[in-house]
Amino acid sequence: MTSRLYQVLQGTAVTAASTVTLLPSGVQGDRSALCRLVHPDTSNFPAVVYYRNPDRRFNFSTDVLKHPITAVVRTASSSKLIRFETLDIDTVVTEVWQGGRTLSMPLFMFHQLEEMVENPPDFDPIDQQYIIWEPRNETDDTYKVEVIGCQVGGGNPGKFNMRRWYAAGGPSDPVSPGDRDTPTDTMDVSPSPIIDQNVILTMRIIEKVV
Amino acid sequence: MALTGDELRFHYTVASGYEDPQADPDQSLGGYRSEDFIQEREGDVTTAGTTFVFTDSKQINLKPVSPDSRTPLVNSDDYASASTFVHWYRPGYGDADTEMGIDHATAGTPRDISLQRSLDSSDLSSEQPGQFDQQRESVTFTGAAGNQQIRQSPAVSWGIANAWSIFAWVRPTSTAAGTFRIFRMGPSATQEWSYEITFWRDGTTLHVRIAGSTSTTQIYQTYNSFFALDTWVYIVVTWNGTTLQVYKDGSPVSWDTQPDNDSVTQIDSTRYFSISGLRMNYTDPLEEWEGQIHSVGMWSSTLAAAEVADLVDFGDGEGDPALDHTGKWLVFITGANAVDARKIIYHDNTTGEMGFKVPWGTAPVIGEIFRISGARHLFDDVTAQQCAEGHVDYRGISFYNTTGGSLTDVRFYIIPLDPGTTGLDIACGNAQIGASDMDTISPDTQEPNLVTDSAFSSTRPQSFRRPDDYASGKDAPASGTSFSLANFFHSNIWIRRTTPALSKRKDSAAWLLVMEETGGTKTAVPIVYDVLGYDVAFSLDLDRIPRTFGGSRVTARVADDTLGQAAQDESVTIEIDSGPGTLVSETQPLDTDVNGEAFAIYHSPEDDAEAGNSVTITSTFWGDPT
Repeated sequence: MTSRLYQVLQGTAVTAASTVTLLPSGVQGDRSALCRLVHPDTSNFPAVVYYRNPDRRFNFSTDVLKHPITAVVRTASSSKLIRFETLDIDTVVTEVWQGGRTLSMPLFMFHQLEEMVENPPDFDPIDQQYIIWEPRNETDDTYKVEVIGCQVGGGNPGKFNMRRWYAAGGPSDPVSPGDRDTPTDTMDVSPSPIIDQNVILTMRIIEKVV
Repeated sequence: MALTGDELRFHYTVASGYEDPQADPDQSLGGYRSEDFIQEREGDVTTAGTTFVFTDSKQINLKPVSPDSRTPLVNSDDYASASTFVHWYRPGYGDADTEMGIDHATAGTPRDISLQRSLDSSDLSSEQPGQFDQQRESVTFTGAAGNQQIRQSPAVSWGIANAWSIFAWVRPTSTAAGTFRIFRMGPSATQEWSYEITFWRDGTTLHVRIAGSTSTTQIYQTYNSFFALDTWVYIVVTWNGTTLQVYKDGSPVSWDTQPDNDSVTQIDSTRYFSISGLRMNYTDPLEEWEGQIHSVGMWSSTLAAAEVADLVDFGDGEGDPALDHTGKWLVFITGANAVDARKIIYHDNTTGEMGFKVPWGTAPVIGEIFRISGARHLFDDVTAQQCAEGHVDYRGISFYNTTGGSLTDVRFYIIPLDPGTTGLDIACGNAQIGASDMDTISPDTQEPNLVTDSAFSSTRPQSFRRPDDYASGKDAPASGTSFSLANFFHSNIWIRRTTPALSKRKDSAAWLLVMEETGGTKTAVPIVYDVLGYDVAFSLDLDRIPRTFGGSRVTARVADDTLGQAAQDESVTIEIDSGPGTLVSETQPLDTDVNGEAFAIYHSPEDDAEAGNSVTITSTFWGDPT
């Protein structure tokens, strides 16, 4: 016969930790400052700071470019210009991250943009909340926007041309290193692949935030 | 170590509790302390008539507090584990604190041995020499001219033959030269030099003498440097009819001088007996001990060296594991219901029940007097959510008397073995109710007789004591208060287990349920609960490296570490351990989803000057997969 000894155990916490170093976003108004999108539901969506600013931007410089609608019509004596003034809310801003030889953006950034597309703020007829767009490299102003869509490549917005390149260089295993094989595998963002096609984000301006 | 259902867990390593005898202020538990609760051997116990048959034995020992915490512990119940153990004298351990009561005896009624000076209760609180020291559980003797002695008169037969062993647990408060008797057994109440067993201190030397038919026919040995001032020493003297052997603190020692080494016989008949002093004399015992004596005992056999070593526990909680005590664990019932009875702590591996079975009464009937249904792990069904959010529930313990007669003067104590670590407390119900009523009370939906502090003492049996009562020493059980339980009736108490919010996984805790009978015999069983059981795989990651003005989604994932399956509805917390920024839902328990995930949103500071600073986010798992 053997004698056994049992212990009353003092609980030991099971913990996991991750340490990261904050990256800069630049000072607003500075040309190097990174733009961002802020979802009104901050409990579920962290602010999206662009990994890099777009290469091209339509209908916006330091402010919304609301181009009037004009038409030239003939009259009895001459041609006349008809001009229809537009409002801010009629302006759609488009941002383009050019792909091709330059590669457009890391895949994780695209997912962050797409997250804004897929999760519009809840409809509220009394106090509607909007995603805030901050073109911080252009202006101190911020804008309420409706994200219309996010497109990869030049085709249908609903079809993402997602050939990915890897930061280490060149096409590689199509399986992302961030994919998890088991539920507890970590999803490290640093080796995230880079999209080689244009990424086009379109947003409808609602109003400038005063 | 994962906790599984079939294990009965015993407290051992938790050192808090009652290590300091001061923590047991009224010594109502005999100074038992938590780490004394050592051994467990489990198996099935069957009965054949009135004889218990041990197919395997269960052994739970309570050890007395050492007279001095710096000195080795002596496993008192191991005395009884040697089947030839016949007598144990321990101050304050008997029916009255003023007597050297007999706790362990193989037969008969307690012997009429009392202090020469009769003490009353008022003496017990003082520190006068020659009085019972409750804290040390020893008697202090003042030495020469103190006239202090514990004696047996008239002479009786001690039941020892020419093979015996005697122990004494003493502490000299002087190392002066002279004769300071520890123990003497002889044929006359007055001084005799024949047929004598005696040992004493002179300076730091131990003298041991066994005399035969004449005062000069003797075995006489001395052991130099045996004593040290103010230091407890455990002396064991063994005799096999021809050889005298002395042990110090469990180890054999060799004699230094041997003035006489004759052949000695006939020392086994009726004898007088004294602790301290040479003569059985009320007014002039002569050569009294100077210092403390904790206990003295004897066996009717010659203990082997291994057995002696096993008696001495140097604080590690274990004697010699090579010794097999199977079937030898005895706790004897003394007092009005005195019978030679073995009390068995049983544990049914099938039903999970555990409790006491005891022959009781003059015609011993084997019956239960205590049972915990579904014991072993009373509260092991705490869910992860309860663990995270905090939970209180109750379990009943029934005292079930099937002995055939009423049990009276039985006291029960509940001692938290790790107080302060897990927020344990108990509530007691006092109804003596029938068996059929027991099952109708749901511990999960009812708080039976849960009372406030002020009402507690008036509605519970006096002998039940809450831990906080115990710790503060208040509300001690009234003297003479009885807990009477009629045959075939239950009484029950309820143990309330409080799991504080955010209890960590694998927390467990235990109580010790002690039953004390008339005469001071104590038996104990553990009551243990564990909060959680399984190991998990657990990870944490961020979906992006946060930038200033930005943030990250921080996801914790829980999976079964064996199957790798996502664990849903588990509780985790995520918090910033260091660094700038804020975290939504910090410290609040989060439930994992179907993917085993729970997430929180980290918002980095809106200050680019914070760039380059590190942020450490920590996640803690609180609940296990169910």
